[in-house]
Amino acid sequence: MPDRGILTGQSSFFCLSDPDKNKSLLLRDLSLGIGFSPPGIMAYPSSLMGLYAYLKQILQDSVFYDAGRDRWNKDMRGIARPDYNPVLEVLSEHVAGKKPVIFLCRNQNDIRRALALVAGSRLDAVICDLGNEASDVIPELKKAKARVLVTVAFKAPPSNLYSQKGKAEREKAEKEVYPKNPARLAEAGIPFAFSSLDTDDPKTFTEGVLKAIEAGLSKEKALAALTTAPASFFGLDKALGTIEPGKIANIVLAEDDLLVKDAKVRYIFADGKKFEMKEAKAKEGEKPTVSVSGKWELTAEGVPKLTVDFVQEETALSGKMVTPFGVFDFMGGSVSGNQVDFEMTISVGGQEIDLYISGTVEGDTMRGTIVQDTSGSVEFTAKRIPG
Amino acid sequence: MKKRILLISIALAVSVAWLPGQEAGSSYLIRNATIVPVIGEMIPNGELLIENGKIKALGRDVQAPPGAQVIDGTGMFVYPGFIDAFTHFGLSEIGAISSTVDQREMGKENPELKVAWAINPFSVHFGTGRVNGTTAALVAPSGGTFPGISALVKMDGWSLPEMAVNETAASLINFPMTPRPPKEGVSVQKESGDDVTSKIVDKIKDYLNEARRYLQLKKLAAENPAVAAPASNPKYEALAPVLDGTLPVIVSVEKAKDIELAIKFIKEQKLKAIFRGCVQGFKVADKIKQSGIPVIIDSLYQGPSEPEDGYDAPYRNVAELVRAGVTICFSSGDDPAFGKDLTYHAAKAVAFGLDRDEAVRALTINPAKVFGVENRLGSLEPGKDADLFLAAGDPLDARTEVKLIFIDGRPIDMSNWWEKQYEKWKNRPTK
Amino acid sequence: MKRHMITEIALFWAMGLLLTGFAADKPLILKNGNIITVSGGTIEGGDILVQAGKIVRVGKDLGAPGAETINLKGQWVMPGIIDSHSHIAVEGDVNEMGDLITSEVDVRDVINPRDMMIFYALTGGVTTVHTMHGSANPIAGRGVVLKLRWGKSADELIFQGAPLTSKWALGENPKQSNLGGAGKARYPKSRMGVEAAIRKEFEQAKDYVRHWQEYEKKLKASRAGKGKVPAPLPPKRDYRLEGVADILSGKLWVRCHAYQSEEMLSIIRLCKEYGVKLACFEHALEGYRITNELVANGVGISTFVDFWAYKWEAYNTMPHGTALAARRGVLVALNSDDPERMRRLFNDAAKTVRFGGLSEAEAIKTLTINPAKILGIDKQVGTIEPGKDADLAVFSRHPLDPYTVCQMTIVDGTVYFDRAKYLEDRKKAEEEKKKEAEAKAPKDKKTGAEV
Repeated sequence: MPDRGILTGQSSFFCLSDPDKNKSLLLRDLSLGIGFSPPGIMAYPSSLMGLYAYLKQILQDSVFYDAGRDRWNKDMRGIARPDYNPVLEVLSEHVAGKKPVIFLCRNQNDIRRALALVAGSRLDAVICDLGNEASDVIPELKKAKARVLVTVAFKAPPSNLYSQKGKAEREKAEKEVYPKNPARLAEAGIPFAFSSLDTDDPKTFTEGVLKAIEAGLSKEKALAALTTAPASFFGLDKALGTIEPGKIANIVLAEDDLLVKDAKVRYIFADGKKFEMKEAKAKEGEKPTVSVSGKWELTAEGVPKLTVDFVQEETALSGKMVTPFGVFDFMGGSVSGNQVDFEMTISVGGQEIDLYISGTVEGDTMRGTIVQDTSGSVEFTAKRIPG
Repeated sequence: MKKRILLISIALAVSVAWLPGQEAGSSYLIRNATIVPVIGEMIPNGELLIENGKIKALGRDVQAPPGAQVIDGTGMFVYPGFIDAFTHFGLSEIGAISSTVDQREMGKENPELKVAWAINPFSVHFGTGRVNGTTAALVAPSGGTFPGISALVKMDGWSLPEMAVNETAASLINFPMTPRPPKEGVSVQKESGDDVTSKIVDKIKDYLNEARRYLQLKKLAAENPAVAAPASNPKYEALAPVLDGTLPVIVSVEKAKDIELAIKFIKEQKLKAIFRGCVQGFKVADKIKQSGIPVIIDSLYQGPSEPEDGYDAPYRNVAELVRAGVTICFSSGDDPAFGKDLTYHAAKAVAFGLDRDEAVRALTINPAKVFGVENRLGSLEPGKDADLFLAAGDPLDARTEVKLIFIDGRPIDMSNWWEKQYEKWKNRPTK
Repeated sequence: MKRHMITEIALFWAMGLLLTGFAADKPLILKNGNIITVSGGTIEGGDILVQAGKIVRVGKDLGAPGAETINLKGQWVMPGIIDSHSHIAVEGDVNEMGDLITSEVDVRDVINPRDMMIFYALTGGVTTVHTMHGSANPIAGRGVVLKLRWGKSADELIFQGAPLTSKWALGENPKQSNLGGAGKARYPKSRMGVEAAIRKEFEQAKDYVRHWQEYEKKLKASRAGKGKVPAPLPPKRDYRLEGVADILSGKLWVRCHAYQSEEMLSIIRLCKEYGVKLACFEHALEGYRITNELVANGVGISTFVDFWAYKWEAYNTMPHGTALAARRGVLVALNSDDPERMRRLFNDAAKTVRFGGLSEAEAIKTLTINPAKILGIDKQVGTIEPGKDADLAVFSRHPLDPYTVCQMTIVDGTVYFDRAKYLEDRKKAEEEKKKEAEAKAPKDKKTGAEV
């Protein structure tokens, strides 16, 4: 599903069986994503609170739009014809509860906000728990009969208390508290499915699921969260989720138990096509090189959205950073293995600020730290901008 | 009753001082005040004689020369003028208006830049900054790794050279800092890695070594005509007194790890250092003590460096350092608009465990010694500059008014940007 | 409670969540303190009886059956400090920069109860804060008053019964004159434009309210006509204009960020013209120049003593301004606008004694009953009197004394900050850490690895 912006877009289901998306498409435009990250500093809405007010307004606009359009369609006389609005047209199906919405909740506050929007509306909501805090909202989730998508990166979410108490607290929570989230949801009877959002490569996702099991989630519930639960959440349970005659042949064959460390998966069937899994040739010590040349969108808490345009020549890194305060060049950075390091100086309102940036690249995601010369640092995530 | 007499005496003193053609050889006798010399015992109902800009005598029954202005100090306390050990007075007027800001230059290495070229002696902040008894301040540049050379100046004077006690008081090195949590307390982030810090320290070492090579080559060329002299490099030249230890260097550093790294660095490089900041100094107080490096405490208007240190960390840090035997000085910090708050920081440190006498020393004799001017400043002793003030109570108490300040034996015009507005606007008729 | 998941190191932080075990409805007596009641002078060696979150009695030698006691040992108690200008406990940016008028936005939607700054405020004797938007918009969104019940949920922090507020801003910030060219040009770029923008929005809101009233009329008529006349379509709901309508109806109390005297006088006129409840000016560093007008129009100021010279409009001011305005009859509240300053507001109040000659009693008012009045919560808080909320701050010395330290902060009769316990827990945590480190050390010596 798309996850940038506020009304992020329509998600679709694919069988990972064919590179041609027309062939692998299962269900199109299934659900609407709703995010809580304001897209930029100068456009409306630029703040979280503005975003929430915007959501309330646009849901209201959709109701008004529907009423107007229905009235016009019923009796085209005597009233002004409403303007066509493509966004509201799409939104109206979700507002009427005909199609679900997926709220991308970064933490428990977002979950409560999402549920507040849902209350008193006809929204059919799925809560995507990016912050692993759904288990702090169990009573409200129960009341709303919400379905939850659980992520497994288990990183401390924004505005959490542990991070404000110190590094040691945060690390401890990431080891001991957040991995317990799925188990606690299972115990409370909240239906959930696993999502790989925030764990961009399959290896980390699998490790995450195993962490959840280690932390107390039963293997049965874990398996259900990978199969029957997601199928039923999105109305695909007739076709997927169990091994039954008539269903789509999506099957994983492993030598022994699947939900264990170093599970040996031998074959995967997708849409009945056989894929044989070969041993990954991981050479210890050899660091693969990544190429970061191109544009990346960088987000960090408390920092306006930045765009970095990298130019990488082997290990040398240079480029420019586009900020609300201007465009600033940098040189002399380096790429080593999948590690990126560079420093630069930006000028804000006459003040010069030195920044030291270092990050790790995995696929199209870079994660790291920006250190500011005198006052602090912040973790960032950067995503490659396609095209 | 007594107050009225005092006011008249002070007014007299002030008006006399500003008569045109007034000789520098004026004398003032402060009478019947509690005198706190800092060096030596407190003198209740004491007297202090100022002559020709210096403290002539103090004690009981001090003889006043003929023509001396008498100032009735009944109910007042006389202290040596406070010394603010780190400020930007005169380098910044209004923060948001860049044309009024001259604190930092472009680039990272500017060891040759002298604030003495840039200090505006008529900055409004000198007048408002001294109201609580500050008579001298170290004015420093900021930014980069080697920001430049700071100057020690008096808080009043006709021109910068006349105000300067030492135009090249100390150089500066901004030691790389491993990150501290943003003030708003939003999630603490991963440490950038000691790798980033040590990389930058290595760069600093390399720079200093280049300076050394330059100086050696220059010396060699002077002795041996066959050797070509290097092209003149004012930056390396400016580092010469730092490298041979004759010019102290203020090293700004905060976290415990960084302090240890800095101590090692200073020892290796054989610098005569003064620390500034050390908000986590309490964690390595013994090491700081062993190193013999004094510490300039920054403004206490800050939270802990790391949440685990506790909400009161910057406050209790001061007492802990002193308990371990470290010499400390107070400073009002980066914003000249808060210059007068020097005494409030000292009071806060006392509230959280610092001995009050130590606090007063940290405002007076300690900074004088640290900047090598204890022969002139830092205590009320005969022969020292007559930099002192009369306060109507405890000068560390925000409710106390400092009634009169002397700098170089001259009573200072106590009016300033604030007082002028107050005098005018309190007289607007109420409807 | 999640305490079984929190380790020793975290324990001393958890003290905020642990309260002191006093049940809310059990009586509590704070014994032997110097009580600054604000409403009725100072009682030396007095007691305060608290029950069910309220102050029941203030006097000497108080007793109650089954009461828990806290012996103040001669320390000082004052009403919990009220900070009427803050931005704590807000998730995300406190400014909605994208538009000029953002009255649809509501800070209650983004309250984050897990903001550590709440705890820090408690360490400074603060019990109530008004948290709100920044100053990027001529009319921003709704602000809310919170009680610092550290550990409770967002809904539980809200101060029940406090009027909601509308934050306005004039001057350099909504003009965006200090952003150095960032972002696209946005109207207004001058102070004149700021006032014009507000007027325009007022008129649009009045139109909006009119449309809805017309709709109500038509709806009634349609119902009476029993289907002969088709039911009208309701107008589109516009949350922004509804926010402005709330301002015009007086439901929201306006708090206007302004520095310079001429724009403050203009806004007073504008608000009078439209019947808007202008509760106070925020900052109002030139407020001491227009005290006659402020008093005549019942407008207070929520200000700093000495935060100045950071931008041009903060230059024509003096620390005496606060005291002078107060002495001339203006309702003056001291505020922080910053979580670091919030925990030393009592130190700031002491400055008004020297700068401008405010009496100590009046200085204490700027932290207590004055902000309570400006926020419309003075019936519940701001003094130590029977019937009021038991919001109290205990200090080691008089709150205006330079060496005072806040020892305990109580909200609704519950101790949310206890310095003695905090220090004890910290000591324990440090000893634990030491033991752990020592336990590790000998092992490493055996392997020869560096400790």
